[in-house]
Amino acid sequence: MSNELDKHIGETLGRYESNVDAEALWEAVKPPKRRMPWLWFLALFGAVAIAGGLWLWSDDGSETVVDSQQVVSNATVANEEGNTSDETYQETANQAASGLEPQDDMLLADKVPMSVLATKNTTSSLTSVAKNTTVGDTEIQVTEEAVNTNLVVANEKPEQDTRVLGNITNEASSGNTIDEDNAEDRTAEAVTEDASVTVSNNPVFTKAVQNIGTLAYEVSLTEGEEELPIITLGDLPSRNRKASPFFAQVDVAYLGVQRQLENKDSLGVSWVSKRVNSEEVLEGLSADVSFGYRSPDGWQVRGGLGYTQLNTLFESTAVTQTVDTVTGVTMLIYGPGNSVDSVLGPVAYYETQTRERKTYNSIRQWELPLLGGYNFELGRLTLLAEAGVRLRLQRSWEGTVLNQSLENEFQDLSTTDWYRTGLGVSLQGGLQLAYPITSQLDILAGGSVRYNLQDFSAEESPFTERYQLLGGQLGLRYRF
Amino acid sequence: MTESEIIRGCQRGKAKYQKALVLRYSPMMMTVARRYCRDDHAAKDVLQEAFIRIFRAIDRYQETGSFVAWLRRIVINIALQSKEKASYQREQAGLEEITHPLVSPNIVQQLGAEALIALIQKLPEGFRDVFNLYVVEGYAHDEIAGILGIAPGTSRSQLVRARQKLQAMILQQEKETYVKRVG
Repeated sequence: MSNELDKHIGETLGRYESNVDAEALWEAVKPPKRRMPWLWFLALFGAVAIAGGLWLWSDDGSETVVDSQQVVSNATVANEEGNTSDETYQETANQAASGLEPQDDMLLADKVPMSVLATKNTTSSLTSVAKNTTVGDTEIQVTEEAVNTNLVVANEKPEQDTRVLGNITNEASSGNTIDEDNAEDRTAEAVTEDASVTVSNNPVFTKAVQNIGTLAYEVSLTEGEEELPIITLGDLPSRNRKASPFFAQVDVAYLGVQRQLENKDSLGVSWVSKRVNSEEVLEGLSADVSFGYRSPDGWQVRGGLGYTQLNTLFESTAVTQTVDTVTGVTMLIYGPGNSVDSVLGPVAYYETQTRERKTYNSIRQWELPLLGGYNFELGRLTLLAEAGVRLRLQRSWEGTVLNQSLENEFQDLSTTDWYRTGLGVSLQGGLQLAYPITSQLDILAGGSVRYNLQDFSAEESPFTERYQLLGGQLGLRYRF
Repeated sequence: MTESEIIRGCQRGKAKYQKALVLRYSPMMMTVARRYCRDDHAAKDVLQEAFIRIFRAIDRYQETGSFVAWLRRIVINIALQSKEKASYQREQAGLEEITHPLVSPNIVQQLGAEALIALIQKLPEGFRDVFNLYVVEGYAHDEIAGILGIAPGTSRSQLVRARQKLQAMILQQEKETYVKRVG
């Protein structure tokens, strides 16, 4: 009896399927959707870019001050060495008036000597840079220090052998916001350098800053009710005006493609041969739009959006022959007297069709280039050595290949799952020469290599495909 | 969608294949879970836990053995583990009351799957596990002893008592049916 019971239970329950609400069960057990990891990549990229930019930006500020101090120091030494005031001023005037373009990455303000010495004897020299160079009896030295908010104006009076320093201070004339372009916000008070010397008519200076947008300003000095000379320092830049280290860049690239196409198992060997014989690997085309930051010492980072398309040409000639029958002469019978009889019957009729097929296949992908590099100054040219990664965001494909087994049949690539989608990473390195067309616009030309870390094929693909790219690129870089 | 496709899809974490796995195998797995649990509610919990573990562990599954057997084994393990955590004490059977009942083969043959599951669920827990493992899964007593952490002799004795208990319940059920029919 036990055996009967065991056997019956084993057979009955071994194959029995209970009623279960499988849909509800699936809802209960399905794993949470994977959050789109490329969003994290984007967020990470943004955070790195912002942090890097801020770090480099803060670094840039400290170096500007050092540069300025060096200039001031040089000017002072020149004066102490006995150079005439004319020479000193002339040097300044030439630099200010000649409109010299600033060297790359150095703030415009740092290019102008920070010390200007003017005397009444230098009228002819001054006219080249100053609209109004009347100095009167007073020898005036204007010294500008590259400190963000302070401008020091020195009024030297040789007859008293003393020096009057005018400390410019910023003070909001209305509200809590200081507008350095507003004359009312910038005032100066004269103080003597030597406390033992008394200035009979202690002047109070006011300063008006004008034409900030065109990198020029005027200094107006007023002593009591007597108007002191107005000195215009040519095209001296405003200290508030800085050449931006941020830039935008557009690149287009034409790339040679090396394809490695292999079968995944022994069954696919002939298919690989078919593809190799019917597909010609053409080229890769790529375009990037990126934004970046370039530090004064030559380092730069940039990132943006890129598009790359890999092209192959598929060509196939399919010959098909159909056989039909028609009624025709099957036999001729030659009789006496040159008579000929014919016998009619079904005759094979061959029809050959040649079908040529030619399509351009392509694999397209959207990418996120993230590149860092260094700019080597070569006179007017700049050599940019750059390397980084390209994060693949999305990939699509289309085209035609020969079918594996049927001789003259084709496989539509767009209906297959042969290629990886989603995130991927490739490495990029390259060199570019930059030539400035204008003060803000550079043209770039160079070459780059891209190494794909992953092959392109998905698990469903019968092939393993890997593409590596090497080629040239052209670009434009605009500095804000 | 073949079994291999489902397995590979699940190993890649594709939701489409995971759902296919649930839809295809959950009825069979539910039967297994019900046999080891005292009621269907507990069986559903076991089934849910089983699928969660399957999705996590399917990367390690190698297609050398039967996939169905692998699934069943996971359900059984979870069912047995859940009982270890359960707060209620293992039930003790009134073995003295079971006295070699005799059940007609005809009666046994008339019992359908649902009726059998209901009877098995009524078995005391220890009996039920041994009975399932031996009769349905086909394990030997030594293996059952290893799985349940008991002596092989205990496994044998519990199997005998499970059978006796089942026969007694079948007879009782048959008697009640007869009374209802006559009365």
